[in-house]
Amino acid sequence: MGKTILTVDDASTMRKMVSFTLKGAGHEVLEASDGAVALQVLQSRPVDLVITDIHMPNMDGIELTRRLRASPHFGRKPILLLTTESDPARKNEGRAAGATGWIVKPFNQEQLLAIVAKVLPNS
Amino acid sequence: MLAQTEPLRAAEGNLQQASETLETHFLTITSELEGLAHSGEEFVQQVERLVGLATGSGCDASVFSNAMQLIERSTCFLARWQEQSVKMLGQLRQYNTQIEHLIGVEAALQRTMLPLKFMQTLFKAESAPLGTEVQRMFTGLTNEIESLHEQVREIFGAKFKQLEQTHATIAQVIRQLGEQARTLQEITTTRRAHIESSLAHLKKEMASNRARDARLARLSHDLAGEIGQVVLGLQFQDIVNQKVQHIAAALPVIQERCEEVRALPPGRVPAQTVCFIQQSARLETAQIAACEAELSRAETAMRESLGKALQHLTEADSECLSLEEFQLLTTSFDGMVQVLVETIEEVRALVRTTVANAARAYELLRPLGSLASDLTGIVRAVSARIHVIGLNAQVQAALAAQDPRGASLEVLSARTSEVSRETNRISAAAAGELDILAGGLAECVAAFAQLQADGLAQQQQLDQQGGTEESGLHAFRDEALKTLGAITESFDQIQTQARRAIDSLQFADFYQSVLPALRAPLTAMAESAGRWREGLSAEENADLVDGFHRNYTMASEHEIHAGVMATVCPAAEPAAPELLPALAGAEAGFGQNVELF
Repeated sequence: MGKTILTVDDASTMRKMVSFTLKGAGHEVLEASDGAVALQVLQSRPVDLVITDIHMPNMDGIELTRRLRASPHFGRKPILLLTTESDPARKNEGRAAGATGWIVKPFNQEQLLAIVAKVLPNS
Repeated sequence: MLAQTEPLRAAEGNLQQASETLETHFLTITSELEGLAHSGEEFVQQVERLVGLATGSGCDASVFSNAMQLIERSTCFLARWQEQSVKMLGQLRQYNTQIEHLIGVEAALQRTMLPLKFMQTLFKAESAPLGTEVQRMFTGLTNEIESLHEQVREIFGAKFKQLEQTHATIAQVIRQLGEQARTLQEITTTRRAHIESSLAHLKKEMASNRARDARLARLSHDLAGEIGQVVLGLQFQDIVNQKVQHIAAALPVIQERCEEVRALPPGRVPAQTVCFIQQSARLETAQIAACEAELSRAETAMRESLGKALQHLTEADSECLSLEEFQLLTTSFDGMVQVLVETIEEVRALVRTTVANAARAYELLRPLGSLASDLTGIVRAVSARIHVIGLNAQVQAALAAQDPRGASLEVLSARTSEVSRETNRISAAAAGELDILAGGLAECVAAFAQLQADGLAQQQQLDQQGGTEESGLHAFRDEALKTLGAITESFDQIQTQARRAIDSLQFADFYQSVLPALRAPLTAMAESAGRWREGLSAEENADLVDGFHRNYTMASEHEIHAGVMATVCPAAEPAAPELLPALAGAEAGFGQNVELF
């Protein structure tokens, strides 16, 4: 069953690739260009999963994760960090902020779909 | 003298715009890829649909089976009709032989009864001398004989004439039935053979299409794989862009240091600054070269994948699912549908004709049974009357014989009785035959009535269902043709999109011109700084090395940094960048780049 997924990235190519991959598997995909825009989107639409980049203007992915985990509306829904970042300290920050997983770019389609299926078991 | 910073500034100035242009190219490809994937998916679905139609799995099986059942039921009816026609033909021929024989009975009866005419005159002549009373008695008898003669002549003449007409009518029915039986046999045999041949052809097509279906599944998988490779390649826009941003962030620092050096007299330049310029220029040169290589590889990989995707689709056209084959297949659908539709129409016409023939035969034969029954009654009545005449003749002859002059009347009476017996014998035989004929004709009439009723029911069913089946078959054929048209259209569209996407792969300007333009002044700076620089101690180098990698976030950037540092200060132990170990996700089968917390 298709789920609603929010992809957050300042690179439109990345957003489109994530969206293209997930839509192909029957999910509905919303897009946001940074953490602040993502919070606005989430106010109007509930989603089942957030896939976010880390390095973004206005609000980065780790801050977005912290805000979402603090929000009673978002609760324990999964958040995946999709980043070029390889610094273990940043990864630990992501983990501490409440992220569900860490994916280093580039992803391949099958891999991303497998991860989504894992974190959204009924999808 | 340290190299000028102006060329670097100029190249840096171009970088922003070039990055935006590069992003535009990537977005164009992204958009083409989305369109390509969508069209590819549609194409595969349409092809699957057509193959499904061809294998029978993608269409309602009743499309053919209902039409076939309808035809089968009708042809069974016609075959039964044909079988019954042959049987009835035999019976009718037999009845006509009987009628021919019965027509001969009239002559036999006339012949047998002919002596009675002379008896009448003789009775009158012989009874004349025996007094008025006896003469009156024999006059009555002769009148009776005359009346019988008259009746036989009139009724037999008329009725046997009708019997002759009956013979002609049955002969006509026989001809009609014979002709129809032959036509039915010919048509049902020919049609059945045609349908069986078409079905065999369709089954053969279906079998070969099942193999196509398997190849199509592989093709679909391969196509998805190539599109996945393009998706992977497109992500390098973001990766390279981030690297370029990291490089761009380092450039002002290098330029600033260069300006500092250039502002100082040559003897007062700190060696550490020169060393910083040399090492950071080398480092950024290496990062730029890595970006060039990465972008070039991404372009090549995407070009190859798009080319392969196009190739797979072309294979779909030329090898496993040739459009020409589809056209043939559609022609065979069309042929099959045409055969079925024509057959339904033909069977409908045949059933109509059969019903009409049955009705005509029924109308022709129906009065024949009553004629035979009438004739039986007449023959029996004549026989009874002649029997009475014979008895009367005997009684009266016995009375007349009391007078010696009446002895000859006994001879006449005996002869009359003899004629009566013979007439009775012939009549009884004819009546028996007529009874059988009447019974047989009644059976035939009933059979034709039944055939007519069955035929009407069959005709009604054909009229009701035939139209529905024809519509269903035409709809099926139209869908196959429509799908074929859509496939051709999709394929053209896919080819155009794939070519457009390949044409949009224009990164060469960025990695062959923009980035090298940035790299060249950095290389010059590194070389000039190298000439300027005096040697630093290993400890001093190590301090510098530690400071250089803080801008980098990607593992590949750290690797390049480590490689460059190992070259510029081999004696130093570079602070090993703390890179992510193989992520836990690798164990879960997601890959080295994934970790689920």
